[in-house]
Amino acid sequence: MFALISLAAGLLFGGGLAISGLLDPRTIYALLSIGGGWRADAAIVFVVAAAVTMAGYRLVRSRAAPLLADRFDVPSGGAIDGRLTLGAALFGLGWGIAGICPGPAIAGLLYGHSETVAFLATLLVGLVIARKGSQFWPRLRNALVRRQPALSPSVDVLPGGGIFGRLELRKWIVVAAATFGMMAAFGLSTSIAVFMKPLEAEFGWLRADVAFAFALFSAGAALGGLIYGRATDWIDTRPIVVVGALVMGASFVVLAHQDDLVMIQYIYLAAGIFGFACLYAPLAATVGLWFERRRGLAIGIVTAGGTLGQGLTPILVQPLIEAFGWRQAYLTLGIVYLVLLVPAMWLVTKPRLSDAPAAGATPQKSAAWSLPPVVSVGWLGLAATFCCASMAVPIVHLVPFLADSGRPVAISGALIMTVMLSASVGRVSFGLIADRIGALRSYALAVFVQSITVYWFVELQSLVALYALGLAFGFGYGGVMTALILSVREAVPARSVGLSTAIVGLLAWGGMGLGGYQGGLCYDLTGNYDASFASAALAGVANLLVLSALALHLRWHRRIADALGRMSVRRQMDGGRLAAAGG
Amino acid sequence: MLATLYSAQIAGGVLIGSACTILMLCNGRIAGISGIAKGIVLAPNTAERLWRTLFVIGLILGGWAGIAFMGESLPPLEFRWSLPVYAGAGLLAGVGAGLANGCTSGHGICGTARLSPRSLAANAIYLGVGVLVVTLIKPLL
Repeated sequence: MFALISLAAGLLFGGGLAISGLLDPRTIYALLSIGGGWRADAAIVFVVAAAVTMAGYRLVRSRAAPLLADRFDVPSGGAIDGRLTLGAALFGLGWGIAGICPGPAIAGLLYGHSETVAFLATLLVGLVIARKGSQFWPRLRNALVRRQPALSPSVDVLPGGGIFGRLELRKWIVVAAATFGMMAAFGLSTSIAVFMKPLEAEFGWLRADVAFAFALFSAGAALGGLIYGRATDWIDTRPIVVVGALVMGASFVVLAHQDDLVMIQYIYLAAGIFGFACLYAPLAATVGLWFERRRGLAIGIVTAGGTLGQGLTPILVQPLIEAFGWRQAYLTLGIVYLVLLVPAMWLVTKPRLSDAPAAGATPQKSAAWSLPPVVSVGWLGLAATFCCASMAVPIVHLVPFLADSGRPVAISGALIMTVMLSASVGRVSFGLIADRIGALRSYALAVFVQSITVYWFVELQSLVALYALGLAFGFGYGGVMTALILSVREAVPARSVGLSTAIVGLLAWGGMGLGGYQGGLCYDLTGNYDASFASAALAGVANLLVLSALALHLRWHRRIADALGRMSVRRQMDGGRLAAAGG
Repeated sequence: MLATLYSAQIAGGVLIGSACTILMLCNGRIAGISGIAKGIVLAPNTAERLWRTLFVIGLILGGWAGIAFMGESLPPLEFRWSLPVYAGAGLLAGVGAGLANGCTSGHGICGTARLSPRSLAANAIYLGVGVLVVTLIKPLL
């Protein structure tokens, strides 16, 4: 009831703002233009509203308590101090420039002007900065200066969990939320392909224009990932992923109102930098921190969320577009993201120091990784580049290839769906495999499956065989990403997982772009896709070579380390013998 | 005469005033938008977050309904600046409202109605600065 009353009050308030014309910046400018062009509109609204409120408050305050609460929660009247003065002055500055008050900015949200969204987004940031300022600065300075492993100082204690099983429950809640986050992030990236057709139809854009939006998005996602990956090493994950979710939802709302191709491309760029990038690396890195046992399974599930998002978005969004048009579909997506994704991301935090997997448990598994982190990340990044160059060919070109060979669109859609759903299974499976045989070995296995299957798309004729191939390829294609993230987690210390994951992710995106591009280039040069898919298989072979070299390097490095260890032991023994002889 | 000329503004003011009154009568809360928005992010518990979120949802839907109700008689909104300007202005207004614990709704309407000295001071300051700013940017408007 309490909550419903506030809903009703909000409705009245918003309606009042709208009909009185306060949503329009010109109304505020007119109020403040006492030098000329002054109009009374806004002043009348404020005076009438304040008068009605004053009369209302008089009646209300004759009561001892409100109807639905214990007491009146009214500011107790602090001093008129520097803080109030500075605050009111800053507010007047922003308010005068924009001509927007916070209330009208919110009430006009469904108008869908990107200006209000921008104003509101930074308004919220400003409010939080003002509150957190005093607490946040010392913490940030500590993190920067002392470089502590920045495990969150406080993880919310879930109510009703009790001691037993609370931690286990908390872990899997993080996994569930992160999985949903991955789904949403990849849903956003897939939305570009899904909305391509209606946008083409309405504005007559070229396919390359919309594809350019995807390229911008990817570049933004990859570069932004570096920043947020590093940020995840320093501060808690929650603020990063919540902001990312807000940006993704807002992007959809704003996209719903665009008429200009360049704007759409820029919005996708922004959504990549400030949305997708805030989720991908931070989520993957954070889940890795929560688990020592069964880490593979956890990362497998979370990354499977990504392919699920890629597979489900067309199924869920296509009917929306057909029924209500693309604008309504974008708006709906935006609202769904804001309502569901933002609270889900609130649940994602880092483990407390005391909750983190026991430090002693780590070395036993990462003993294989005696290389310095930089070298390990270099090797894995190289592998990721080849890996994604290989997978990009079918991912980007399968649909046009099938269209060229005269198959109906529905078939290619269904085949892509098969690949993605099989990839979801592959991710969980290779996570489990990694738990048994180690991350790097399971990565090699996934790369092997992907590389031997990728070429055959151009050879097979029968539909059944194509679907079977799609299943097999998807299984491997899904597994590589999961096993790669797990390998990174094993290869580097916990305090630099975020940055390392992001670097490998950046190179993976680069490989993806390269692979997609070279696939198209081969097609343009030769007129068919044979060479494209053959080069994808070659990239897979190159990747296996890189992995063999990495394995050799690891073994060689370990031998030298062992030999050095033995030498120092022998020297000690020799020294002891000499000493004994001397004695 | 004045009442018919400004009927929309008067009606809007009455609606806003009733909203503030209802929220105080039933829930005992001030209808300050920036405080409510801030609370969605920073409130200590779920119940606090819930009523604030619902208020904001109501605000959005109410705005939408108001626009729909007025139809053609409302001119389309006009935004003068580019996005970065609005983003910057939002940040200033946000930090300011955060430090001052209120904006045009909390200080401007509810605070005035309570005749709170802090609110009256805040109103005078942001109105003064606002007038100054608009006078300066007037040639660009």
